[in-house]
Amino acid sequence: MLVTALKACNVGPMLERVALHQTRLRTPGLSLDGRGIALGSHGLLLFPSLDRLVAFFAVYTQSQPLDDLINKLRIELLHSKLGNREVALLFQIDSSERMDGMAEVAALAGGFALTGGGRYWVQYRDAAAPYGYDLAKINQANATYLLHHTTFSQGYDIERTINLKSLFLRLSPRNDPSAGLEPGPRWILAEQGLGGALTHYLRRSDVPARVGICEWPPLSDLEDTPIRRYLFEIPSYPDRMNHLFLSTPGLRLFYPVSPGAAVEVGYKHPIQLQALPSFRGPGLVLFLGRGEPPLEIQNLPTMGTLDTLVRIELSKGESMATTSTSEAAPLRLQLRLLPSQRAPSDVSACWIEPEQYPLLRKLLYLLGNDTLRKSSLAISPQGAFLRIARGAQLLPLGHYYRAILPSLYIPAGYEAVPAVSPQVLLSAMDIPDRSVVILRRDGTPWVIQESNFVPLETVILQGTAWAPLPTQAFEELTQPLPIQLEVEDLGFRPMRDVEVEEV
Amino acid sequence: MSEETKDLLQRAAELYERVLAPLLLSGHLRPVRPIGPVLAKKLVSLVADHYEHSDQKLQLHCDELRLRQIQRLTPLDSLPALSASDWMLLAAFNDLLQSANPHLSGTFTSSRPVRLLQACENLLSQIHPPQNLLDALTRHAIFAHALEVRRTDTQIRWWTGSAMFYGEPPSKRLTSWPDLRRVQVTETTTKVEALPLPHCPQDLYLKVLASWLALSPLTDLAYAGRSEPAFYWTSSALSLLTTREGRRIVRHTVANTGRNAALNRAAKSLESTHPSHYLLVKDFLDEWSSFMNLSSLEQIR
Repeated sequence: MLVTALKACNVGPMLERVALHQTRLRTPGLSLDGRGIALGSHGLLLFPSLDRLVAFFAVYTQSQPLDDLINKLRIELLHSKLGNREVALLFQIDSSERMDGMAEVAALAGGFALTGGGRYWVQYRDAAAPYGYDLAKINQANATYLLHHTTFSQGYDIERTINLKSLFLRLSPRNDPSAGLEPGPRWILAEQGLGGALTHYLRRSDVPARVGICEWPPLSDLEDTPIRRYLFEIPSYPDRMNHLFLSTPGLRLFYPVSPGAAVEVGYKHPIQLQALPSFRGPGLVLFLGRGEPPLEIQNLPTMGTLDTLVRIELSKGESMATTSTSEAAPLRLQLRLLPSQRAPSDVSACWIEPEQYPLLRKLLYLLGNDTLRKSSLAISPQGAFLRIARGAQLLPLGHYYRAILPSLYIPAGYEAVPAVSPQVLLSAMDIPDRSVVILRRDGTPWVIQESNFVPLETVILQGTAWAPLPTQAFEELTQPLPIQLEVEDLGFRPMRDVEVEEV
Repeated sequence: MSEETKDLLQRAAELYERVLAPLLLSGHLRPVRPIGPVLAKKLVSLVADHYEHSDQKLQLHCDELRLRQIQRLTPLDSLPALSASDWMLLAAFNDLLQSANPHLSGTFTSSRPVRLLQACENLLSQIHPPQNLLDALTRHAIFAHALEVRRTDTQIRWWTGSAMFYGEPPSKRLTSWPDLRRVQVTETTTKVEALPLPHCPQDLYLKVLASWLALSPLTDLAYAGRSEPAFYWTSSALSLLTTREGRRIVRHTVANTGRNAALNRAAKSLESTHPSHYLLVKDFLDEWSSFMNLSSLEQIR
């Protein structure tokens, strides 16, 4: 009976459960903590591959930082005599509570949790052995680490050590189209040729930003000059610029995930980089998408505001200006609008001549409340420009326009040639900010300040003459209505009933 | 039921519907054929204190309005039916209004208004003044708006002449083709005290009106601010001031500062002729003045 009980107590050939109030343990370096749990000086999480280790970090950093562990943590690639490779994460343990948490995360990521120190490691406690495990007997195998688990006992040697930061740097961000699209600060990395143009564009658009130049060593020994790129730090910018930043070759847009790390917009790093102290500055790591290696900036360059870097034009430098314009002038084309082959669609505004105002007045009576509320109107001596959120083509008057940008309208059924992008078209006009450009059919633009547009419902109703209604005190209302005396013909002998008698 | 009784009941019903009901409900007041004192007494002996009108709804409404009129002055829950004095006062008021009827007199009957006013005076002389406070209240309940009666007189002028219509709609014939005939229609409103036509005895009319008002002292006091006939303190009005409740009711009735001057002026006339009456009125007016000041203070607070 006793033998049967002892056999049942044994959990494997090498391990046995630690009992409550047990005082002695066989495993070197293993001791009991205050709760009676067998705990070594270090913990070891064994993962079958690197991706499992990454999964472990992905889960762990979601809830807590690595600050406490980072100085006592190392990643080692182990191999056994049988040739299989495992990844071990070793760290110092200060309490069984922390080890419990890490063991849970390791189990989630497909790893094993062991404890010990030096050469001998035993499985950390689980539900079957709440106080942990101890070795049944000491094995004298020749290996750097002897790991004893309920399912295996294996000796491992260290093949190499892996740096945690370099591991994270090697991780490619995942494709996530929604990542970084929310408003907020951004970093822009611009190739050297685009830096100046972007500086002027941001300055002209009144976007507050700082810019610096970063240098990287040349890609090969055959090149002499370092790689220079402009780094822009933008606290905020209008949403309309997103398309420009994302679609222009040579510009890379990044959103910060920690003070020292930023990920390209449209991608997401699998690890919470903020949990790692090495990604909290003072340098900057830019994680690129499309599988490209990250760009590491050891120390941020000196950043200057755009105002200080904007191009200064000297009034007396006429000869230089003339030279520069004369070179580009032959290439400049006049903007034209040509009828489009496609059916006009997305009509969102119409230009109404003053002669058509009477008809417009009649049609305004027919518009619904929603349309009136969402429409805006700007009136000029040449006519009125009416912007309607939806269904402008239902108004049977005026010239229809469609918006190719929120602030750029071209006639419906026409296309601008040369077929440059709307942003380029707008920037070529050098229009002041917060202006609406209306391209006429001959290509000449009309510009209306955005502030001149007023909601349609606030302007169409003219004032109504009113008259004060006199009121009276309540007491007067209590007075009776007048009693109207009506006189009738009294007929023949009206006095026949009247007889006077002597009193 | 004899034919005479039926006729009397018919006259009473007409008097109720055409004179009493409009006095309470407002609207069009159409006086009945002149009644006179003899017929009035017959009528009163038949309907006083227990009259039931054929239109019970109208009677209920009129009774309710009489009570409501009184409840503005004093907390009464019920009013007695119309008494003999009430019916006679009603008949006298009807005759008074009919004395100003332009159809009453003709070329050979120009004395009819005078005769009717004299008959009315005779009738009023047979009505005793209010015997108690309730009597004064019930009379005022009926005639509280008697002097609100207005007659609309219409004068029509056209290019060859003019015509006057007193209290009756003008002839459509005279108002036709207004542009061609250059018709001008002028409407004026005439108060009760100015009803008599130019050729009728105005003084006698006002005298009878004053006598009629004296028999309803609360109504007399309520219209103390009228121009004609001028208010004077009658014995029945003075008797109201002899009791505390009467003073309170009078105070509520004349609760309008516009009537203060008329009451004071009337009191002045008593100073030389009836000093004791003057003291009574002066005491009341002083008390009323102090009440007015007190209510002003409460409003300020």
